[in-house]
Amino acid sequence: MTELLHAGFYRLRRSPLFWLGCAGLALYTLCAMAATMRWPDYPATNAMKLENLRTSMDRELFRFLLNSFYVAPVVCAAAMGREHQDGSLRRMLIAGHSRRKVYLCNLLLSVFTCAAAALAGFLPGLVLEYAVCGSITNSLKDLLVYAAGMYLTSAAMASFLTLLGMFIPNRAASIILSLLLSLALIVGGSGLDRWVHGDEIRSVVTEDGETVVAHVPKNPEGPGWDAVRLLVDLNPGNQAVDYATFSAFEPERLMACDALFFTLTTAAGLHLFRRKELR
Amino acid sequence: MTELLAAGLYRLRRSKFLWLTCLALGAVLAILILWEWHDLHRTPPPVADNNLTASLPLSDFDQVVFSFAAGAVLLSSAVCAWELGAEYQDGALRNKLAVGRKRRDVYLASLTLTVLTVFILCLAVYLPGIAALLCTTGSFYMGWGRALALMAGLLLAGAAFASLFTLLSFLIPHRAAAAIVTIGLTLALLLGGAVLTDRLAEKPEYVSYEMTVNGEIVPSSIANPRYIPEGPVRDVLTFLADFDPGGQVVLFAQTKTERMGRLMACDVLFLVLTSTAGLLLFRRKELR
Repeated sequence: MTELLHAGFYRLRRSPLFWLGCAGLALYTLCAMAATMRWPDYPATNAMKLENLRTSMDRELFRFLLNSFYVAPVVCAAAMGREHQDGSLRRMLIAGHSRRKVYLCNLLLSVFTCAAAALAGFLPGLVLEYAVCGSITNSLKDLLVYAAGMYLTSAAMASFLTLLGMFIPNRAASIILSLLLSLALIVGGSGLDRWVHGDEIRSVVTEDGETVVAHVPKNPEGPGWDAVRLLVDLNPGNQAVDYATFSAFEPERLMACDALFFTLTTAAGLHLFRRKELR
Repeated sequence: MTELLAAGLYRLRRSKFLWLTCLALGAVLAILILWEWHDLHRTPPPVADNNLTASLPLSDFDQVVFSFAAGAVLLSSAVCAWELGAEYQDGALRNKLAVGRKRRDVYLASLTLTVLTVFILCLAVYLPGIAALLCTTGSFYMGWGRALALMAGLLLAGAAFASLFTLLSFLIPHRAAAAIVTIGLTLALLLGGAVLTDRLAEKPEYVSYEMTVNGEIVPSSIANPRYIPEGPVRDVLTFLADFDPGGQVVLFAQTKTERMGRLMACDVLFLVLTSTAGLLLFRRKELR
């Protein structure tokens, strides 16, 4: 497997799409951060302005995650599609490498690609915020937890892209389908998240018999809805939206969902790839 | 050109990608409208923000029908890139020229078929959505006239996008590269249009509330730093926002019909410019 990984990293290093994607994400974060640096006329004191600026820049730290869901599918699908198209995949198997090793090697490369894209989007923003504001609003522990969640979400996305890329032999079809499904995961995920986790304003009778207007969960508690919530939380697109908007209130739960999603898609991919006919 | 169109229509009729996409989009929109209706009629009803009586946001239902416009345009970019790329890949394009067809006829036939593809996808979104709306609220809250004007505007914006898809697919022979560029550019136009439209809609001032020494809360007007003042910069950005078909799709998806005539004229201009550029560049392109 070492030779497979070595060959894969060599190809990735020479892929213009990979470097363009990383550069694009870094540029996006820097532009988003720079856009927050126009100080309004209020509040009056510089200390308060700095505090507001720090809060605004914090909000942009993970915003790039949504764009990485456009970049990563293109890079991963293009790389795996090329292996199908030029016959490299078939030759690896003829040369004696097991299907499991070939699949896991591509999985590791996809995970590396997604993690590198995440790092390219995250680090410049963090460095700029420290340079301008001297610190971040959230504690370092919270930031590290969010960053870990971000990497696990990227890994979950990578496992999904590997599953698609290894099964679609046509490169163009692989790219189109990966891109559209990534978009569907984000858009559908955020919509389903609002439906499942959202609340609404209702009139509620308190213990004192008084009728008040309050925010209550839209859907009742119960094993059925808990199962639906778990399925919605498994979606890495939904998690990317949560991290990008700094609204991941239970990052540990999301990380566990990422690990589960990664395991399920990898197991399914390995199982199906063993039976796939390569032409 | 009639034979080219007939052959293209035959391929389009047999395109599984196109019909599966139409089915998926229409089904999702119809389910969404029916679910929103069901959600609103659950008991007890939710209350509005300012009073304890529930108000039915019927205008929101109208917006749901048009909200999928951006999705339809994005999916049509994928479908068109896929179908047009097939012509390069299997050599059909070169064969057409080899049997004596003019480059102009080949380009215009493909442009017509791409426009038709985009129309089919847009209608696949609107028709089930309208059917679901008629089954629930019975009519458009905004009125049929305005709804039909919005649909016409969206179809024209779709035609403008179709001319861009044709231009890109004819100039980029590699199918995968054409797909990436087409989808990426469509996303960029949609997002760029949304950002420009939001920025131009910013008000010159906003109200801020300050507490005085006496503990009173006093409202005061603060200049909005994001407001773009009247002048050449605003005029240029307004033209770009109107010229960008992505921006128009975003406006129509929000059911805003101001400047409809100007937006439609910009669509026609965009279509003419991209088609002319495509024809000129394709004449010089070497096909291998």
